[in-house]
Amino acid sequence: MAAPPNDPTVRASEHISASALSVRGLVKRFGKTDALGGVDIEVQPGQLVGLLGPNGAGKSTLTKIACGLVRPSGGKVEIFGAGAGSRQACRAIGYLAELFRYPSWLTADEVLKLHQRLAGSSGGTEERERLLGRVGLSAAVGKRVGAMSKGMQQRLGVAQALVGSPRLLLLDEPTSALDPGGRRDMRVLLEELRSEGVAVLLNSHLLSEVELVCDHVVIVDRGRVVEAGRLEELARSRGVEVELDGGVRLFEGMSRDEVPGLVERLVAEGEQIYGVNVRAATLEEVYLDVVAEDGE
Amino acid sequence: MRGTWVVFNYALRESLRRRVFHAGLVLTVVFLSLYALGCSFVHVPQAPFAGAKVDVSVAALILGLAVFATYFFGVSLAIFLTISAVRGDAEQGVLQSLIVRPLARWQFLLGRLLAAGAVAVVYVAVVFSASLAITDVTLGWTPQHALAAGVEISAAIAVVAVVSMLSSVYLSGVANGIGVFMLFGAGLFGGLLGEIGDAVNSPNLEHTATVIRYATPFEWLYQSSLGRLIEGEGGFTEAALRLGPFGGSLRSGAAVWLWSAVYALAVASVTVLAFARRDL
Repeated sequence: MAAPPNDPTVRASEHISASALSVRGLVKRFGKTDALGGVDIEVQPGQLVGLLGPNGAGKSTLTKIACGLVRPSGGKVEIFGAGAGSRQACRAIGYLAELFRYPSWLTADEVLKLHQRLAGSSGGTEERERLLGRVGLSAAVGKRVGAMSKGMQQRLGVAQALVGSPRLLLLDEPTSALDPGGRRDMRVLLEELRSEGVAVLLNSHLLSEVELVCDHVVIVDRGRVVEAGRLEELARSRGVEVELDGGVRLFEGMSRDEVPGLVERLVAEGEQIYGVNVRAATLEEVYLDVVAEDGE
Repeated sequence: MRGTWVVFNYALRESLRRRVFHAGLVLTVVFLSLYALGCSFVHVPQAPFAGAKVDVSVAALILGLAVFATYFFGVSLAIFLTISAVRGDAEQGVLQSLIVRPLARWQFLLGRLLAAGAVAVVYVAVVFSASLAITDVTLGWTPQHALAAGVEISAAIAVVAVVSMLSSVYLSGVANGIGVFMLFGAGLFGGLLGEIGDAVNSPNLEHTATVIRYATPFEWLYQSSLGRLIEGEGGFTEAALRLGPFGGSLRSGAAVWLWSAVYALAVASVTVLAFARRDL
């Protein structure tokens, strides 16, 4: 029997025992095309995971399978221990699609009310006002979707995804229509959600945005995970820059651990050292490296 | 059933707000006005003396044409309300945020179907009743089995809505509209074949018409509703009148209801299975 949606006992036990999102050996074929070829991903409660990859890598397919919109050809996807697409899993997730549209005749408040009723949320007016406030749409409560800018609709989409207090947010390009201010607001919101224990899978092309807000990154290419881990782990050393009399010199391939030895050697050679900087790879460099390697 | 009820309310509001519905209402008012005008013209020149009413056969023929127009409007409305229910809405990005909520896909389909069916059936009932009232006031005749005729024509529209819902799983909006209208046209063609077969006494044509009738039970229901209009009039009127214009009146009894119910249930079941397997 499905657990009641707001049963605190069940929620607490799920938090302890299950990943927010567990993807194991996920395979998806569209005809003869392999969209996903054995993907493994774990997202824990409170983690903010960036899902990166080139166009056609399988990111949106992965997100849709997690939502139950697309059926997997193989493998297993679980949301807090429940199979993706099951009612229990659907109760735990909030989803914003890359391509979405709300009926133009509904107001912002009506869109949220509709989703409250579908989600079985008892939050009422208070929840709707709070969510619209969180995405900066407090003044647009009675505004029709048809009269909203694309950016406002995207903010409304995020508010819709938050209806019913989901424990896992699946966001597919949530900032594509937002201006820089809107993107900053979104980062703040995501950080707040993380601190509240909400797990987030953020599918985005904007590497700088992922770098700023995510603590884990998964890079997918051609339906396979080609790199995954914490940002610090991925930010491999690109060498050590040392400021000498003759200018800045780069010692490629050296890591932070090798800095004392390097400094000792340079001093012994009579060099004057004015500064040392361990140069780490940016996410963009890591991304381009692994995607290019995979393409070779 | 809470999810179904929520989707029903949402889809009902959406249906009533569609421009095609408003345009349909305007055209319906125009049609009924013209129908009233036409009926009044029929009455005046044929009346042999003051207060006389036209012959039942004339009134039935005219009402038969009104029933065809009602059938056509109802089918159009049912198609337009269900045209994009699944694939069309998915391509627009409307469907995904609704489907990821904790409700079964069949509940979503049922809610949408009930809403579209309710709007189309109520529309047909109102237009049919208005046609009956106009016929009664201007020509002084009301069929004895008007209620049964109205129920059958409404049921025909409901069957079309079910068929359109199924094809919306596979086809995008425009393609679905064209496809279901072609099926509707095939039904009318079958009715016409049946009339011709009857007129020239061709068993082959009549057999073909019967096969098409089974394939398009909404057409069968329409023909049966025409049959109800003249049922009980007796004598030459009941025996000779075929009404029309596409597909003459038919006396089908319970068979048409039984087959339509089986057909609609089968189509609805296939729709549920197809939608459950569809990637969005």
